[in-house]
Amino acid sequence: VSDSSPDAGGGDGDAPDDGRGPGDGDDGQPPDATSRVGADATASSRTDAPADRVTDHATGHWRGIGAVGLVLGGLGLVFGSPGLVLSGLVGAVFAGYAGAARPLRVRDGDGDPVIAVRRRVDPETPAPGDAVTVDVEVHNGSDGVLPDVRVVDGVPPALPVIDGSPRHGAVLRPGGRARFSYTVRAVRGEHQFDPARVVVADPTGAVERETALAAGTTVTCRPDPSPVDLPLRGLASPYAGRIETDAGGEGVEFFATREYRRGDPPGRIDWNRRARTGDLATLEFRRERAATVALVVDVRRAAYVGPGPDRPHAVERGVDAAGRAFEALLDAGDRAGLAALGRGIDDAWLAPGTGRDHRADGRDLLATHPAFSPVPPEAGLYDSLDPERREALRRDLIDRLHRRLPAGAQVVLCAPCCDPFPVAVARRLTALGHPVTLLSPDPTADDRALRALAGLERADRLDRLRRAGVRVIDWGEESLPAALARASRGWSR
Amino acid sequence: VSARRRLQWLGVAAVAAGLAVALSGVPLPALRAREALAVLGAGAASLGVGYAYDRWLSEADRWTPPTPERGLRVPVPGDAVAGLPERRVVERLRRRAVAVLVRGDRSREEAEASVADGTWTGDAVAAAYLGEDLRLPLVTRLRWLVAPDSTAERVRERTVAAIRRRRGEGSP
Repeated sequence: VSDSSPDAGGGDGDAPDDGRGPGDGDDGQPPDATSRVGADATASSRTDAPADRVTDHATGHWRGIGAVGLVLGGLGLVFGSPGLVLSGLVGAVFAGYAGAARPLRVRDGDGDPVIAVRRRVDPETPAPGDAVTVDVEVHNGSDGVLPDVRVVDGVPPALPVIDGSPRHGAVLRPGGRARFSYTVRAVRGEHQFDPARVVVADPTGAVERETALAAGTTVTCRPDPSPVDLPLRGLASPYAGRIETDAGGEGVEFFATREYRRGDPPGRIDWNRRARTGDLATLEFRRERAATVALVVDVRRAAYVGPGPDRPHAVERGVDAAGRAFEALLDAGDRAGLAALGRGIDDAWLAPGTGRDHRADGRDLLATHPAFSPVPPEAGLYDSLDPERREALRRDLIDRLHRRLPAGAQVVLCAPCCDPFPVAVARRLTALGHPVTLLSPDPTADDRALRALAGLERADRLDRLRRAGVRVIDWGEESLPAALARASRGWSR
Repeated sequence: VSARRRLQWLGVAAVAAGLAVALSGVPLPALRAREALAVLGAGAASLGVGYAYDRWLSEADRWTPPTPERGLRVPVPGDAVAGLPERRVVERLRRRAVAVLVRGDRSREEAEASVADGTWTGDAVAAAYLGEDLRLPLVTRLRWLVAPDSTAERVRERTVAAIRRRRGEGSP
């Protein structure tokens, strides 16, 4: 997701069913972290551009004592006191020593780092919520002593540290190693560790040299979603499935009888009636059809909101809900697709389908595609555009989504609705003939007046949608099935 | 860098020479030396004061370690509103109040008038905060002068509570 506007990425020439993101495995096999990371995530990448940067800091630790020395020495001279002069001299010696300090070498002649960071994560493919132990080893490959090495590991932004600390300080002799470890909590997604930031100070601490050392480690966390049935709406596709239609035909439940027509299968002839009256009649059953459902998750930056630290944000809950509904739909024989409403709309798209490969693709897309990342996209070009242009891009985003939807597909939109855009999406898609169900994880808090105001604004938005004929599931603190049960009580089909 | 090095060596040599002279016990020519030393000392002392002052003024260029262990922080809805000017905050609260009245089968004009003249709620503070030409109670205005942030929060809380009561939520 290097692009910064919803329309970045050019045209939409790809056919709707070619919607697999580039992050998907080639053969439906989930890409395995071990193959990418290797036995122990080797270090000292020399290609990473930011990792090659070296910054020096003059800390000014000793400037105070230099000043004191000068003042004391000067006063000693003025008042002719040898004691004062001598004590000033001590300060001057310290200041001179510190002033002569040079930054220590952290790269050798070829620009390769002399310090190596190795990182080992266990397990590499955790389930969400699991504790992942990260062991870091820092190795001094130079032939000099490094008297003050400080390391801050590049913990991926989405993974909170729950035990230990990713910081370490050590004295490293030539060839010496220092180890430390900490624990993070796994969160859905494919998480790259950032380069570790390393600072080496000279013995006096007067100069610090900072650099970044990459050790390409990845933690991949795929949830195993438990299916949750979403109540579907009446419109159905031509495929056999579970939506009850008001049309007779093949099916299970008795619907009506009609006159026999040539070619009706003998199994559907009403033989009782034939025996009773001699007429030939054919039984009709209620036709049951499969639904085509696109699960759309709002992944715009505005959707990355949550009620507070250590609580899942709206995108995380939306992706979770979409994943669980996806499983349930496929279990029931419906055709389910996935889409990211936001920058990733062009590649994070899985056209509605069925089957085992489709299920694997969908799981993969939700678990690891960058568009569904738990980390918000950076503010980009889009945020600096003028309102009119943004409005045009927003409309374009809706059109783009619409063009991908098969005719008659229903849409389940997972969006927190803390801005008006999801309302516009839901209304527009409804107008275009796609029944919309809004599943809205509630990200608001009400511990402050303005937070409560945001909650009121969101509640009013949901009300407007309900009045416009959109089904709304307001998903608060409760579990998803509980929210569905509460919401469906208020619906009439 | 080499110029700096040379200066450093010069400094070291001067200190060493001075030390040698001081420790050797060679008597210095009495009069001029004393005055010269006093001038030198005064210079050095003022330079030292200057250094100290400079250090006091300047931020040390130290490495600021990143804080990667915090985990992800995403904004809480509504926090961005706090950065808006007071007028816009009032406008957004007013729109909620009007919306809830409109839903309670009033016309938009009636609802706006009711919010403007404060008759939509029994809470004098909330009524005055959203109303036109209405003044907050004197005590509240005084408090606003002394502690604007906490008073604004309190007034907004009461306004939100009043809107919620009209929505039929919470305690009456």
